[in-house]
Amino acid sequence: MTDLTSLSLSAMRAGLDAGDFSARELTSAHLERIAAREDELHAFLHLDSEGAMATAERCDETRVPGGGAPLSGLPLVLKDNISTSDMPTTCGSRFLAGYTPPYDATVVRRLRRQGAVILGKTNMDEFGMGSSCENSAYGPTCNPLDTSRVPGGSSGGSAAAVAAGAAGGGFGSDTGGSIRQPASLCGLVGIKPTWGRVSRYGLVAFASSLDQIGPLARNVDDAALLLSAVWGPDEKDATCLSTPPPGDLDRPGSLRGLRLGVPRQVSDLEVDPSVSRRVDEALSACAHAGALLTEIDLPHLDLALPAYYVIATAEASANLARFDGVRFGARAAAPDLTALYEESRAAGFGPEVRRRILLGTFGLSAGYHEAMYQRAQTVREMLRQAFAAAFTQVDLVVTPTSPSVAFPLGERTSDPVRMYASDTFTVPVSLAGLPALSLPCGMADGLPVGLQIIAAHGRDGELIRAGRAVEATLALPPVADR
Amino acid sequence: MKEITHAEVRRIAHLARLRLDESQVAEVSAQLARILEAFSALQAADLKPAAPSPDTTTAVDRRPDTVGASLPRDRALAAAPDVEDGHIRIPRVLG
Repeated sequence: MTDLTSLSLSAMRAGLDAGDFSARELTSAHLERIAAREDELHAFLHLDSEGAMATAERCDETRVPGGGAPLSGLPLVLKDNISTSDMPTTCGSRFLAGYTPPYDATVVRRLRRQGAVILGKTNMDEFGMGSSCENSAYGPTCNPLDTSRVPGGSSGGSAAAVAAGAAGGGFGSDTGGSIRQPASLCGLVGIKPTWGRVSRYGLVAFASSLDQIGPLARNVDDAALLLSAVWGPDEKDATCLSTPPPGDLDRPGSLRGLRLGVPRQVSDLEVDPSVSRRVDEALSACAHAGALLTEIDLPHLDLALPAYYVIATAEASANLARFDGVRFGARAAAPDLTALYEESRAAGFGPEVRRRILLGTFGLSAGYHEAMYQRAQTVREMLRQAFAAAFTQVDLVVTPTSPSVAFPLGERTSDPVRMYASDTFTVPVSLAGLPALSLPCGMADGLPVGLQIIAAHGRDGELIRAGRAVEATLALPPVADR
Repeated sequence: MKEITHAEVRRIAHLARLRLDESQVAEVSAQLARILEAFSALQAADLKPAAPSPDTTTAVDRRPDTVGASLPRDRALAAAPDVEDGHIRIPRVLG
């Protein structure tokens, strides 16, 4: 019998609809896979085998012969910063050990309504702060393609689970690259939609003007299936776009005549030569298939990284003020309220979270606000306008997703600046609020390389169609860890 | 700009309500200095302030301000570390 864990979501859907296998069989196969790989990978913070089997059973009982709801019976995972009322939501932090939210995130509500089987919650850098999944208070996740290496972060647990066949697909969140970079490092497709496309209600906030939920999957079709199941307006998130999401995702994309912009400033930034080579080859293949490659200008691309870290940490310093030991989470014993705050936070937060709260507080403090936060906001605006100008000349912009392939565990943990550099190509997109995806474009040193495709604001549909066309043109064999 | 004194780190830590012990103060001071040095291009760049894009907070559609169901008290308090008679208990603030 086919290994059910190797199927794409669309193949799982087809098999379920045709009655080739049941949702219970599909879920069992994934739970077995988890049992076989989890000790080595540590992708999960919470596994809900019972809940998953119960949902699968319901899917089988209510199955409509010939076709069910799009996600019915599909085994998925959620990053542990997406609130679930029936499972803990720790954000990879000791502060929230054992915390179960009183409500479901909008994304979770929509997934449940469509019969998705939620296998569990996945590991992550604490509160989304990291690019390797090593900043989790519960220990790192390993890359299933090479367990001596990181899966990327911060959505590393979801990426590792999907790459290992422990789940058919998953959701992560992306503040500065936290979906796209792990997708790149694990050989997956990851989409960060336009900011506001997916409701953030129930997503534990890191940097609200940047945070966005999106899918991690084995191919563009699967990622599009997951994204379209959860996006769209939500009255519980006032920053959610009120315009309806694109509706014609199934239309095949074509590269013929598609104008792909290659920023000339990319060559000023540090990229591993082997990564550059794979990206150049992929772009040549696209050109061969009819795409028009154009060099474009994205001034100040090199300032995106510092601007991002100033803005994201400033917002984090405000957002994480809620973790004070009063209403939820860990509380330290203290004689007065200030000491209670200070002690609870000192005990609950890991080193990177502390560092970012302090950096953010510094950038907002009297005497530094202008030199740090305001200048960062100016850069953000300049980048936004530079992208808007670029999109008058081209349809999409392409860059590497990550400057390197998956790096060894421990290589960058002692040097935050080096770790931050992992986000060089993903943060400019986040600052501009644009939709982007990462898809595999080849291998370097036996590890996957990701190509980042960026679309204009709100053009998530074009992004997905172009991604599908690039994927078909490259026609790479699936990245397998087995 | 690149120098961050220990006193400054203590001031920031207090603003952030984060207790740091003395060894952490020294460590954070060195790390912040290294990060700010790496980010010095932000200070050095010749930036022309760009006219801001429309504020995202005014661009959103506002829904009518109507009263809806809110979280029941017992569920809202379920995760609080110290609860008494339907209230969250904290150390004495006054007197």
